[in-house]
Amino acid sequence: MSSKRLFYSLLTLAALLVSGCDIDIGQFFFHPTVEERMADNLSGQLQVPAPVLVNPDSFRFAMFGDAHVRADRTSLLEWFRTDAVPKGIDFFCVLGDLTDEATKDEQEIAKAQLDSVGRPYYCTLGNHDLYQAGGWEWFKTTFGPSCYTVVIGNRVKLLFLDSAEGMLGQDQFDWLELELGKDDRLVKIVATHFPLYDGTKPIMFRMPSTEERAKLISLFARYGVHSMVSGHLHGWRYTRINETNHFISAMPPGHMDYDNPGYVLFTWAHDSLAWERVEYELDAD
Amino acid sequence: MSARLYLVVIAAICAVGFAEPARIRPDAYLGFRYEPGVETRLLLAGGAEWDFVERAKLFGGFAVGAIDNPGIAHYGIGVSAKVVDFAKVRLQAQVNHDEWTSWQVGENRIAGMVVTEPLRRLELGIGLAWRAPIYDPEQYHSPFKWSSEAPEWNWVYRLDWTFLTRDGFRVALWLANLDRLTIHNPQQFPSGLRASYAAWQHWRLTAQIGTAIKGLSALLFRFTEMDLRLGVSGEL
Repeated sequence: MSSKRLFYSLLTLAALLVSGCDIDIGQFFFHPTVEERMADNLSGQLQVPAPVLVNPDSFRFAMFGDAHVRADRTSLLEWFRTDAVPKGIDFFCVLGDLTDEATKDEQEIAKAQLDSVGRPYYCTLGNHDLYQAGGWEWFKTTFGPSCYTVVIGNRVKLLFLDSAEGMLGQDQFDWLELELGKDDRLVKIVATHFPLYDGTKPIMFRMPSTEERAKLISLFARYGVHSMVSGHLHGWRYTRINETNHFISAMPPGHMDYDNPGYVLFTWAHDSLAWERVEYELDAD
Repeated sequence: MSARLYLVVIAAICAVGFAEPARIRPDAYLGFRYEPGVETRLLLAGGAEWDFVERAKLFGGFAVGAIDNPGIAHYGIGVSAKVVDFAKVRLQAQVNHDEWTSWQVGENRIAGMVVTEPLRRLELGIGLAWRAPIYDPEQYHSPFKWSSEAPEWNWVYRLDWTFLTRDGFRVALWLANLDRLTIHNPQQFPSGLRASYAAWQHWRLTAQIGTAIKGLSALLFRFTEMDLRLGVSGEL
């Protein structure tokens, strides 16, 4: 095959691959970078979500990633509402990929479905939320910063990180180390989109840089991080590294790579934090 | 103790190789690696390849770092054997240890590759690596600890094309996530240019520039790493 023919064949293949979706493929290369987003996050111009008021001796919250709300309203947020609210959650956290392709319709439906759960919630950014030119603008004006901390009941400190591109960047690393160094008496949970570890198989749904993962795990050990909860991989994974729990808990409406969709339910009681996995039974459909 | 054992093996390779001076290729380089927010590291590395029999070679290397994570950085040894004359098909295996002293993290790995040279000056290779990161601060420096909380298989690959050889210069393009001392995750597509110049009889000045991407699985691509190396290599 001549090189010209090969080039046009590949171009046709690429066109076929993207023709079935509304993704703005220019964003693959020209999205707002983590440095630009951190400049917004640290500017003081964005409204940081307020801490939820809870009973400091007993409270519950749920965490999951990858809601992937679609324009046809497909999502598991309705199941989440009927399952988690009766369990007495005080709030919940969505760890990126709120939308599937970040179109305007999806953004509006995602916001409406998250509001409809009827509990306060915190969000951070995922890669799918940046698949349209206005993705970051929508996120920051709707939910506030993608990197921030919230202290719940003077017991738990949630550190939300922006790892939408699979990296943190200089400013966010500096910010993270500063925040981890504060509030020693609090239980610290890192919440972000990209996991640090996704199992032994040669797949790619974790932070790619060996050094970046090593540095984060070292920081978690030094500052006694209780858990890191993430998504990105459409599956369920639990790994314990040093004293830190690493969860991947995704809740997309469609195909799962490993296990069922679901969320991690944290319960603060008797001065300690416990967790359990809550699964959505795909067979129930 | 463990690093010393590797050094002894590497020294033995060099020593035996120097006894057979036509069959050794020593090299050394000063490297600079920069990954924003993560690491800025100077590396001083050295090693050698030794054609210990007609169809096989041993290789080894050692690197120490400065600035971030000072001290031992990488060491490893390997063997490569030609198994098929057609397209110069070789089997290669190597065992490596990495350390990041400030973070108290290490990694041991073993990698195997099939490497071929289908065209002159074009080398292609593919294989698998078993990686065992060590996050235990008490044991991260051990090259003998192979149990890990987060082990993983990685695809490894190499494409190396020397596209210019003229007046003592050689210039090559490379795309490889495994070299004698370091590994990248396969989705980072580490790549760059390498050049060398025959400055003296049997010795070449070498230079390499490389980068790698992040965000393949996010489909949000960024070049986020710079790797520069300047050194010498011998063909004794």
